Amino acid sequence: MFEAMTAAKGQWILAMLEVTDLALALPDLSAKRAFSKAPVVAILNNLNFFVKQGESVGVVGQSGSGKTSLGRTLMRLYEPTSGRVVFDGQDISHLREAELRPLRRRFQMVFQDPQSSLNPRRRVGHSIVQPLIAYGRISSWEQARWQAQELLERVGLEGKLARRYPHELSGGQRQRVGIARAVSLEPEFVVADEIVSGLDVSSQAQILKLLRRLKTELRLTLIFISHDLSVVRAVCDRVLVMNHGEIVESGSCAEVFSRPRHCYTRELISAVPLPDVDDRWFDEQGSGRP
Amino acid sequence: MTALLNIHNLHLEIQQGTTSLPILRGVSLSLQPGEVLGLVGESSAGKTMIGKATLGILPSQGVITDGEILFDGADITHISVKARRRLLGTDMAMIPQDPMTSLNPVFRIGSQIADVLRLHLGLKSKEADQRVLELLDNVHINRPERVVKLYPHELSGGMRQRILIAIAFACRPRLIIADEPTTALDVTIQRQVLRLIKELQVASGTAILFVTHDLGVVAKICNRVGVIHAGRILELSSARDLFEAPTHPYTQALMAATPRYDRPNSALNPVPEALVSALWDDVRSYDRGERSVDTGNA
Amino acid sequence: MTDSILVRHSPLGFVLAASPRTIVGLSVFLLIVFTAIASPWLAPHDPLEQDLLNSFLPPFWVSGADPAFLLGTDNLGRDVLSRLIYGTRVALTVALVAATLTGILGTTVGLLAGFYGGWVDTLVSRMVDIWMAFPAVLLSIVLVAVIGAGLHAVIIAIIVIDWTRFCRVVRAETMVQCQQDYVASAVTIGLSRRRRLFKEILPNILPLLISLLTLEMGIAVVVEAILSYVGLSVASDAATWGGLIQEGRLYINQAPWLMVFPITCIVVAVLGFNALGDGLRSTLDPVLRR
Repeated sequence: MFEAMTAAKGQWILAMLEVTDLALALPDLSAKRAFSKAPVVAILNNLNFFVKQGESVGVVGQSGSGKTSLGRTLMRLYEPTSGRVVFDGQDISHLREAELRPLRRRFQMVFQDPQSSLNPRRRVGHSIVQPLIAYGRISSWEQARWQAQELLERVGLEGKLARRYPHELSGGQRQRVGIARAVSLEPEFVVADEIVSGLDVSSQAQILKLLRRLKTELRLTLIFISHDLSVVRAVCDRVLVMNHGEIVESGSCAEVFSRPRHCYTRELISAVPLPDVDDRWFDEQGSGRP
Repeated sequence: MTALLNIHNLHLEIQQGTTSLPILRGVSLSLQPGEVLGLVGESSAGKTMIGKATLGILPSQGVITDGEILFDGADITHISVKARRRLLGTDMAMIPQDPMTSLNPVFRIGSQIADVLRLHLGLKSKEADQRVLELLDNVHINRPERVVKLYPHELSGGMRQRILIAIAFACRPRLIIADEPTTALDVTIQRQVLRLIKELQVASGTAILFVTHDLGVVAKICNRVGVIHAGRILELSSARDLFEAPTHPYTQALMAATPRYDRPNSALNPVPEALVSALWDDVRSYDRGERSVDTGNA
Repeated sequence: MTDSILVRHSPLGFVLAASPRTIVGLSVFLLIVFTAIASPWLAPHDPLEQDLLNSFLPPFWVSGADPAFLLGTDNLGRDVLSRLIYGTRVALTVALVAATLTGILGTTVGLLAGFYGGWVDTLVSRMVDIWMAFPAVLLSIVLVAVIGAGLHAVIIAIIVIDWTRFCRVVRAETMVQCQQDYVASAVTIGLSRRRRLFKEILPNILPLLISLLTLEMGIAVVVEAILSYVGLSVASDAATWGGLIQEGRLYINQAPWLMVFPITCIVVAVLGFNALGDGLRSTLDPVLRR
C-alpha cells in the first residue's frame, strides 16, 4: 500500500490526501427493532492510503464494497467513526461544519445520478453558478449569467442550455453540468462517484475525454469511484480495490490489472467481459487473466 | 433450415398526438433455431423495441408502420391478442431487465412460478409445486424448498434474475427475448448468470435474441451479432468476424470508444458526431477532416 | 428570486400555459372573490331585511314565484339570492385566512421536524399523534365554548385541528427530499443548514403545498358550514352558507330550495378550489410542465 513511499525513500512526498485507519459505522435502520437503538453496521474498516498531488486514483468494487461511502466520508458528508482523514496537511476528520466551510472550496464532488444531484426545480444555469454565489464570487446578475455561459462552454455544452431544467437535458449533458459545477470554484481535489455509470458508450467516452482535459487544465487530484474496471483504467494512474469495506489491493493500474495479487482482484478481473470472442470464458473460475 | 424468427424491413414509430418519432427504419434480421443472436447498440430504445414488437408488448404509442415479423413462417406482426396469448409463455418468453420490478412484491416466489406453469402447461397444484423445485434446481439455487417461501425483496439481485430466467425457461419456449438481463447486476454475478443462460440455452436448444448495450457481454455469449443504430441494423455477422474485423465505421468507432482494462490508452475518442448525424440523415459519406468516410448507407 | 437570476418571468406566460382545469378553477375562485367584494352592489336586496308577507316564495322557474326574488325567499321573507351572495364573504374569508394560517403553522413545524430529525422530530411526531387522537368536532366545540362563537372562533378551530395535516405530509416529503443528492451537493458547496432548508428543499416542497392549501380551503368552507349548522359560527341571522343550510333544514318539505342552493354553492366552491390547486401545480411546477 505504501509502495510509493518506499520507492521514494528519504524524499518528502506531497500527499494531497492521507487516510489513516479510517473506519465508518452507520446505524442500519432496516434492522431496527422497537424500543431499542438500530444496530450499527461497519461500512468501512481500517482503510489506509494516500493520494499525491496531481494523481488520479481509482476506487473499484462491487455493490456493498463501501466505495461510495468512502467517497462521501472523504467529502465529510459522513463523519468517520475512527481514524483520520488529512487533507493537505489538515485533519478534517472531526471538524465542525463552520470550520469545514472555508476548506470545502478546495475539494468538491461530482455525484453519480445527475438527475437527483441537480435541484430539479432550479434552472441549470443557476445550479451551475451556485457554488460561486455561495462563496461570494458573483456580484451581479449579469456576471452570473456570463459565468454560467462560460462554465457550460468549458464542458462542451451550449450556453443556451442555461435556461433549461435538469429533466430537459440528456443524461450525458446533465453529468457535464454536474462536472462544470464541481470545478467552478477551481478546486484542487475532486471525488467523482460513478459519474459514467448508466451512460451510453459514446456519452461515456465524451465525459472521460472531458475529465482528462480538465485534469490537466486544472491540475486536479482525482479520486474516481467506479464499479467498471475498464473505465478506471482509462482515467486513472493508480487503483484501490475494495471489498466489504476494506482495501484488498492497491497499486498502479498497469500492475494491478495485468498481475493481480489478491484472489478477489483476480476474480473481479476475470469476471469482466472484454469485447473479444472467447469460447472458454465461462470455464475459468477466477483464475486470473485468460 | 427455415429461420425461427424472420424480421423483414420493420418500420416502427412512436406516435404522440400529431408528432411521430421514427425508431426503427427498416430492420431486417433472421434467427435460426438454437442460435444466440446479439443485438447491440446504444440506449436509443431501438433494440428494445424490436424485442417488444416480436412479443407484441409495444407501448400504446408504438406503431408498426411497415414490414413484418414472421415466427416459424407465420406472420405475427398484427395478430389478435388471443392468438398472441397462446404464443407467449409457451413458444416465446422474455427475460426482462430489471429483476426488482419484474417480480410481484406481494407474492411469494413459489406461487409466482407455479402460476406460470399452471397457466401455460395446465399442471395441477402438486405437480406445479414439484416442477417449481426442479426449475429452481436447474438455475442452481441452493435450498429451493426454502426459497419458494420467500418474497422477492428477501432475495439478492442475482437470485431474482435467476428466478426470472427460471420462469422464462419454464415452458421450454423456442424463442427467448433477453432484454439487458445482466445490466443491473454486479460483474461477478453477471458472469454466473450469463453462464447459466448459456448452459440452459444449450441444454434446451432455445434460440435467444440477446439485447444489450455491452459489447463485452455480446462477445462472450452470442453466435451472431447485429449492431443497431439510427433505427437500422448497420452490420450483422458472426461474433468472431465482427470483433476481429468490423467493417462498418460505426462499429469501429463504437469499439474504439469502449474502454478496456487491459489496455492503457483505450476509449480516447468518442464516436464522431458527424458519423452519428450522417447515419440519421442517410448521408452516403461524411467529411472527417482530411478525407471523407463512407457511412455504409446504401 | 431564485430563477430570476437568469431568466425574467412573464406573467402572460403563466396564463397562456394554463390547462382547462386551471382556467375553470381560477374562474370559480375569481367569481367568488368578485362576488364577495361586490356583494353590496350585486345583491338585489338587503340580506337581513325581513318581509313576512313574502315568505317561502319559490325560485323563479316555479309557478307562484316573484321575479324580484330570483331564488325565492326563506321563512322570514329574506331573499335567498342576496343571502347567498353575502355568504361568499364569510366563505372566502374563512377559506383564505384559515387555510393560509394553518398552512404556515403546519408547514413550518413539518419542515423543521423533517429536516432536523432527532429529538425535534420525535417531539413533533408524538405531539401530532396525540393531537390527532382528539375527536376534531369535540375539540372545536370546546374551543368555541371557551373563545365564544364567531368567525374568529371558526378560523382558530380550523387551524388548531388541521395544522397536523400539513405537518405530517410536509415532514414526510422533506425527509424524502433530504435523501436526494442535490442536498448532499449543497453540503459540499458549504451551504449552511438554514440555506439548505429554505433555498434548496423548500422550492421542491412548494408544489405539494399548493395542493394542500387549495384542499384546505375547500375543507375550511365545509367546516364553517358544519359549525354554522350546529350554531357555533357567526350570529344566526348573518348570512353564511352553513347558516342557510341550518335554517333550511327545518323547512325541507315545504321549501327544499332553501337547502339546495347553499349546498350547491359549497360544492362548486370546493370543486373550484381543487381544480385551481391542480391547475396551479401543473402550471407552476417545472418538472410537471413538460
